[in-house]
Amino acid sequence: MPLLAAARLDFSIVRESLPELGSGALWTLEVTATGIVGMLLVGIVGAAMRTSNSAPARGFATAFAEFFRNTPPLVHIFFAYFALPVVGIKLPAFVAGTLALVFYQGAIAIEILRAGIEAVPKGQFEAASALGLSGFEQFRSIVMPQAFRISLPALGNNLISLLKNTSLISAIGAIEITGVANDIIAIRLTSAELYLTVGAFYLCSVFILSGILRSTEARLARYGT
Amino acid sequence: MAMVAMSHVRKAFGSNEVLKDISLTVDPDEVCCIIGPSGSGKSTVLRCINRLVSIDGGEVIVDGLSVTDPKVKDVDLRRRVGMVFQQFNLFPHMTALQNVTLAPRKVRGLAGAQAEETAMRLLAKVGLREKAQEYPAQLSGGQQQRVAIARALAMEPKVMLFDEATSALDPEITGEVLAVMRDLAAEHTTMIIVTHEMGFAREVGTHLVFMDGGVIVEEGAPRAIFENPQAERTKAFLSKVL
Amino acid sequence: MSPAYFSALRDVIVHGLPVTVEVSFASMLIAVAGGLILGVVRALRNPALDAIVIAYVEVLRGIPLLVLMFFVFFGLPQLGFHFPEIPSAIIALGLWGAANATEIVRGAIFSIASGQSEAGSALGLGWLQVMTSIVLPQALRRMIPPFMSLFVAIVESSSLAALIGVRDLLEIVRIKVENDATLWLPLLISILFIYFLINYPISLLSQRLEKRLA
Repeated sequence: MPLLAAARLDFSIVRESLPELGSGALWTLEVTATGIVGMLLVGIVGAAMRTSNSAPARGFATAFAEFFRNTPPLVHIFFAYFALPVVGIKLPAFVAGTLALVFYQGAIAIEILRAGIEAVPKGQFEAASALGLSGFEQFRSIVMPQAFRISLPALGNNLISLLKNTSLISAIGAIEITGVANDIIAIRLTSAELYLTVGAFYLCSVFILSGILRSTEARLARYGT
Repeated sequence: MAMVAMSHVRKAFGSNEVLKDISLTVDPDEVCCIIGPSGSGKSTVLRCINRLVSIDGGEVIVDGLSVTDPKVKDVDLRRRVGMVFQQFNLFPHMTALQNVTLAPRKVRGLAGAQAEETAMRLLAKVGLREKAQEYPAQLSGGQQQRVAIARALAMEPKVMLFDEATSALDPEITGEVLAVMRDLAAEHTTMIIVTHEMGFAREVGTHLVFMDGGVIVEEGAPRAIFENPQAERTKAFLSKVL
Repeated sequence: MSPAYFSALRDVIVHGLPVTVEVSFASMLIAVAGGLILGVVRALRNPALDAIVIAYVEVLRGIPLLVLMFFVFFGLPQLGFHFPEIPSAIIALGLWGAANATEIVRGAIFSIASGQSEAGSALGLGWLQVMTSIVLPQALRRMIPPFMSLFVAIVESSSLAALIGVRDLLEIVRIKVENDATLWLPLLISILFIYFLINYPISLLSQRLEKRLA
């Protein structure tokens, strides 16, 4: 039965579409790269607020993080692209999609980094305070670097999740590889080969990304945190 | 003027009264050793001096500054007070040198080169000049603690606090840290040392304080107290540890 | 809030919510069942079986759920397998969920100290008896918080079914705004809150349970 199924696959369509698929792949990587920067920014600032002494800052960051990570990213994407124009904010699809993903994955990053900060030994805070370092300086030089290292595995998973979620922005017409594949399918009407190819692209990307993350973890572990 | 003057200090954590009524004066150049059973509040006394812990009642004057005065900033106190912890608390993601130069650069505002020069001098003083580029994970416990001492000294404090600095070290290694502390004492550094090392307290200390249950039970010259303790509790404690 | 909004919201909840719930629950069942079976298979430590399970898990966690869903709904008919929208969504979500569940089960089983199974074996119990009487009862407790997080993830991911035409919360919103684009704002905010009201309590409970079990 599986052999019969494979016989109905014709990968020439993939060969013909390689240029478009290639450009779609580049777009996916671009959105991912932008998303990573945004997600880390949101995560670090949010985690700082989440663990600060100011109750309003803590409250806001907690509400933000809990709301965004408990609601579907696809709905955020639709909101950014279709709902914001109703109040006059018209964002291009690429921007709307990336922004929505930054907020969603960023909210997850806030929780990850918060756990990382709480895992930093209390003695570190004591030593930094005893030396007279200000709260901001403590956060920047002592706490965040260690929290980051502790959080690296979970942040890595979040990153991979971001890469895969870029496929969602195809729903609002932003260009990335899944959307490109769907456009081709709309014309050529056969889809299995293209989805398999797109799937293979993501698999390879995830594999490479995982490898990079694991070697980074190993390199940082040498200095023993 | 006393370097550290504590009068009727009280501190409770929740319902637990850790310090009941502590009055202690430490003069410049003194090596004040605080001994006593666990839970007697010794570590809390140290932490009241640099405001790592805020007191509930009484007063602490450090080099003329009052810890209860809201106008006195944390950093003003902490620039004058250096602290060495039982668990060393070195910053694991920084080299020994970076650990020592961090506070001089960020708090005292020294330029990088100047901070490095001071740091290398201090690392040499504690016998670890060659280890400047190593990370804490690559150093033994005794070496880490010596770096921690250099790190505290880099701020040029008026008084050095030691919170059971050798308790977490293997017995063979405590010697190298005690030797550094002995040198500091010989250089007339004002030191307040919480310790279980009775031999050190007896030979290097100039002022011995025995604490139990949140109060100072007995204080005076180390030799006098070790040889002729007055209070019953002091006698009981010393007979157990000596 | 306009009357149009209220009538649209009523339709969204009455027609969309049951579908979202149905897809989520069905997928969760498949995910848990699949995860338990595959997780236990990995506990067998058979190299050949391990390789198959690992391959399955890595592939399903390495591709976007959306691509999988498209493949099941649009691609499989080309190979002779025709599944309607809702079954397609449940199959894709279930397969994806099972891959994640396998890791949860495996983690929980392996976190029970090997001393436990050694003790069981020493008492003369067979492998299956050790697994069912000693390891699994303890492991099951540890699986609960991560399984709750998985359910939250499945509820969120169920919204992807709208993109293959399943009439869930999101899709009904899409249909309702065809005549009035301004309804996007209030309707999306409303379903965001519905999703939040479903997921947040589960998240909180999961966090609390995790702390108690630690």
